[in-house]
Amino acid sequence: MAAAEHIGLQPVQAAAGGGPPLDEEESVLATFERVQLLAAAQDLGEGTLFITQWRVFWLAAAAGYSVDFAAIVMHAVASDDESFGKPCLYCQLDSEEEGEGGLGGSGSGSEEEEGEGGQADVLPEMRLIPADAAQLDDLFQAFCEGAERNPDWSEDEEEEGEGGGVFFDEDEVLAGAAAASLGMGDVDELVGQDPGRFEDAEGDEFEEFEQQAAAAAGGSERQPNGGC
Amino acid sequence: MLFYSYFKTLVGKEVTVELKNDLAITGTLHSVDQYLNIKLNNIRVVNEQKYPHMLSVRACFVRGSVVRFILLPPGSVDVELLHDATRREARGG
Repeated sequence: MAAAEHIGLQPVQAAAGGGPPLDEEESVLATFERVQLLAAAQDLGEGTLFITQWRVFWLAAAAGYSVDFAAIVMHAVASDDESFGKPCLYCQLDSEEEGEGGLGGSGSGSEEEEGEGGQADVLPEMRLIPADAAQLDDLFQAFCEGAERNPDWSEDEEEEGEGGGVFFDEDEVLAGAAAASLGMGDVDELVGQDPGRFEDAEGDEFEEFEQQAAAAAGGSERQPNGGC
Repeated sequence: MLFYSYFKTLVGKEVTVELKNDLAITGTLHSVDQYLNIKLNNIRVVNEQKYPHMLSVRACFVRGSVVRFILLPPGSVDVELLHDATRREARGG
């Protein structure tokens, strides 16, 4: 069953009672009977799908797999040739989690990335085809809720290192940070050492000066006084 | 929260979501949550020739962390408003 493992499904053994091997504090929230699993293009037959707080189990007589919701990149209601024209839940999995390269899949690869992992050109995908197509909307909904319960496992990392941070950094540089660092703080410091320093100007003008310094954000007004 | 608030105003509009794996999907924005998970309806795949099997997708859910870009409908971009909002957010307000 290499295909299943290659796309990031974890092989599991059914528990003694035939159900999924749950961790502590894990419980089955929903069950879908008679769901056919296609891992990449490999048909693994029909099994039972169990939804828990943070992962999905698929158990059949011959094999069993689990996948964390956090590793499911997207899921969609679809029907295509690969699913024999039947409506299915199409899922793309995150291949980075396993850190495996060379998935050797089909279809997409135009660019070959040789670096870490196989995240670039191969889609690790699976399809879940319920025998009863009417279950599909419930299945979709269950996966949505699962994803919402399981935001990124590396949330902190994301916040620090991701594009969002860069965006705000840039904005701060352009607007806020320059004014903040060159503006009030420095002026206060200068005034603090010599309260009379700016007194020769009218009181109102000092305010004006502050505003100018903040607006210009270049600190050029500050330089003549800078040698303290 | 800026992005979340803004994207909520786009519900019902057509957007294109590009994933970090290069898949790009156009669809009607159905909902967005605080993690910027995105649900789309009436989907079509932009780079169809590369992902022919995605043609038949109806509704889809994209995990926020795998989104690279979201292409916005031009009519829904109020530059002044966004400018203000980003400034305010940058000041931590």
